[in-house]
Amino acid sequence: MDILPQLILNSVIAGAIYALVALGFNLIYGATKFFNMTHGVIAVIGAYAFLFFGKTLGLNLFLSVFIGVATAAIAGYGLDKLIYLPLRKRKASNMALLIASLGAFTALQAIIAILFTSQFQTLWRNYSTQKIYEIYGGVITQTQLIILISGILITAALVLSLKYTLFGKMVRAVSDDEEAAKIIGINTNKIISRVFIIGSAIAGLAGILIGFDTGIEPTMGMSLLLKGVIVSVIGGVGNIYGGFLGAFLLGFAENFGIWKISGEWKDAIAFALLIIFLLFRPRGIMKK
Amino acid sequence: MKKIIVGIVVVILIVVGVSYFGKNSSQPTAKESIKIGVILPLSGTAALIGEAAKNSAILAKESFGKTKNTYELIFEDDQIDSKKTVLAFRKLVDMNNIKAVITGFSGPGNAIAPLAEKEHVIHFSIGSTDTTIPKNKKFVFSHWLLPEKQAEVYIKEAKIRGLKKIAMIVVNQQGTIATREALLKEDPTIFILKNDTISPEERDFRTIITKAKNEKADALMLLILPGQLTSTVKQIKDLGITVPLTSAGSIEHEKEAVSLLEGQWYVNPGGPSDTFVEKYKEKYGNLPQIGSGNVYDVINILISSFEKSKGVENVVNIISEIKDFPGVMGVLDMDSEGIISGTAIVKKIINGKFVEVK
Amino acid sequence: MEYLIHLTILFAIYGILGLSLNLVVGYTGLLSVTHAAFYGIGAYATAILLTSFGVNFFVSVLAAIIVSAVIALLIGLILSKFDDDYYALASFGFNIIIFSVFLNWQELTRGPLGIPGIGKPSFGISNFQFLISNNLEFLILALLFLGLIYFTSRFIVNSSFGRILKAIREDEKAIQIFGYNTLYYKLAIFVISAAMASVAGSLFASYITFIDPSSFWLMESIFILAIVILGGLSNLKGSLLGALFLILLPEALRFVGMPNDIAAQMRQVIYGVILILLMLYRPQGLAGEYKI
Repeated sequence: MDILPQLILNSVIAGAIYALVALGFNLIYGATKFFNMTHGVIAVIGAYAFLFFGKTLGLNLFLSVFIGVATAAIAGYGLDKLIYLPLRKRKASNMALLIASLGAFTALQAIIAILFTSQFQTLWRNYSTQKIYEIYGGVITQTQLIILISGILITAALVLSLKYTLFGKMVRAVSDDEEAAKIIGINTNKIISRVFIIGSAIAGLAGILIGFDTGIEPTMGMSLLLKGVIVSVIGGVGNIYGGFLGAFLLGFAENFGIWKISGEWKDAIAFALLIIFLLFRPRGIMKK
Repeated sequence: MKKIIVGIVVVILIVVGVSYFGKNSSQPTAKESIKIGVILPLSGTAALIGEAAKNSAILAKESFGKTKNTYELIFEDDQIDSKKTVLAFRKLVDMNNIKAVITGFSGPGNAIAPLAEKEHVIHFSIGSTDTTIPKNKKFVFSHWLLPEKQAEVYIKEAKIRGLKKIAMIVVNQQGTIATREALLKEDPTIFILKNDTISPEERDFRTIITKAKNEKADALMLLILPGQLTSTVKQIKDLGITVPLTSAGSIEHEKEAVSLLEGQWYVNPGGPSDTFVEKYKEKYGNLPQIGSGNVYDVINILISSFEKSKGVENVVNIISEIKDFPGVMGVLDMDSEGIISGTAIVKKIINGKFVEVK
Repeated sequence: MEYLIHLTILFAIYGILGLSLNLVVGYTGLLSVTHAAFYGIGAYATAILLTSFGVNFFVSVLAAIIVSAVIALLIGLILSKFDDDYYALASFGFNIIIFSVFLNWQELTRGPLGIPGIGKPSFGISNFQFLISNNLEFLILALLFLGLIYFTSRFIVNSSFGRILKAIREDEKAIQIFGYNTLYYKLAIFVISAAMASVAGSLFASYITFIDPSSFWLMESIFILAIVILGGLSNLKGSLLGALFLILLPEALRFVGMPNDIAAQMRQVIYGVILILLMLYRPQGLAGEYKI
């Protein structure tokens, strides 16, 4: 293993994971303009749904992934319908939504712990069935490659559909100005609902893939969310393409950063980057 | 506004009322039951350790057999937050009249020790190597392997195996840091990456592992937390590292990691015994966690001591003189500082089992 | 009885935290999620000064206030460049960075080992020395501080300074047109609020006698924010109610019997659901003045 290629790959792998989490988050933020604190725990729901159907019940791999993603999507849809929609109807401020989503996050995380215990669990059945690839002297596993490819594909799909499909255009209209969108006749609540479904589905997929890469515990949602938030800001909140690039920027900054400085400052590096971006480039790395 | 004030006052009255009546009603249910408070992280990031410890405590009480007195275990959650531990302790002392309390980790241990000493409540601290907790306190004890003992055994074994450059992968937490310091004190020359630490929340160790490989370490030493073991080991394997993976105290956390660690050696506190692990697995379907064996022993110590004498003062004397007590963590002796430190042993994973290497 | 004294002391500490944050969030409209950082700075300053240098508690409170104020000035300056959501986000970031410092700057804070053995407050003139030796006395001290901070806050809020803060919350641009330097006001209240939070930290350190970084994490800032919002923004009494409610709630839940193995997690569920319900059905908080 050569060091530089491995470091680059490490950064790319980290970036890919952050990208997947940030994609859904960005999409939802763009449409609703609030920081959805439940995004992390929805990823966890997807992962645990897969655990139950794929590992405990032993169903077919692809079917289980589908069920996992669907469960996450339903969870997101449910949260919107039951909590965020009524709050939006009441013109509640972002602070109210933040607190409500915080409450939902606390409750959901605890429910997962009740149902599945707090123990660390893996999603794979057998380590030796995992494939490993060598690229230019660096190592990457099959799961990590899938994460990377999923990230690229989903980003492309989102960017294209936002630009060219009718649905995408409506989403952009809602993102730009919800009031105006309503005036021209768009059913904003229905659009937002769909956005939650898609965003949560992506989160669910992210949770499953991360579970395959590292393993799962009920409390993993918070750190996923935080990284997702940083990446979104770096990329420009609501900007899908930007979020994707921002994820890799963070991945590189963190991994090359701790190569030189001690490992414990990793979080500080991430948040310092956040603040630097907020200060000098609040719109993110992309010019919107 | 008035409605709200009334509402709040009602809530306060309910709490006060329940606490008053709760205190009185706890008497008739158990005529002379001896209550032991157990404050653990039952939710939050360390819940996996807390849950397992709680299970072990319950197992210990059930397995004890016939007793003169009735014992009651009361569990409270503190999420390793010392102010919550103090709150729980207050409630246990004032409402439940506990005679003894068990806490986990340094923060809670440090916060409760002076209080327990003042209130004459027996306090056993688990999961902390901080010797200031039981120091100069009659009622406070610790049942946890001292890092110096572990370091001595580890360095000896490392030298026997001819290791010269061990890369440390250390998490920034009280126990692991204390272990690292003890190891460096014992022999600073044999380790590299001495000052690098990782956050307890971290799950991505790839770059630090890459660092270790870059330094051409001839072994890796893992000092990490439950929840991180499988990820770390998997990433080490993914990155194609073949040098030995060793540890002092971090290997037996997760059953998922066992197959990945086949053939590796490490140092652990002696115990918990196989019979305990089997009993635990049979009842709960999972492996016990770090600290589970210690909690099991403490419950046993408390019950057997209270069987001998009811007064707390007498029990404290009995406990401080414990010698050759058969525990699942080995044969237990209490030292003059109030610490049951146990012994450290070298173990290996052979055929998926944790086996002691003689 | 000790149990109730303990709860009341916690109420005093969180009351101070809630009041001080309300000044920034409720009255000025700045969504700051970094309050735990100043709480922590106060706690660590007192802890270090008392254990390593034997400084008197009250002197350490003053020293802590100065340290907090200086850091708040720097952070406040940077934060003033942002508005609304970005403000919250950046403050998030600062909380995590300061937490990282508590955790990793081991020479100063002993990192995860924490600082044990913090002494109790004492004061004296020449031969007369009074040491706070039991919790009841500490409670009185804590309540005195709470009262001090409450009346200071009320004074600020009812003064012309306070009116400008509210105007900034409603429409910053409008008041700038009238020639007010809003930056100065925002900075001033941020620093004052941080100084108050640091007092709470000093009290906390001396009361629990042990501190470590985990008490000052991001979730703590969110908890304090929840106190302010639940109590009712821009209502001082509301913040006290909010503190009372959020401290009593887990305790009340403790007495609700639940099967042993899921009790702790169930309480978290109930806690989360109550937050949601409050936002859905009573967003103006308990004191109900300013709807969010």
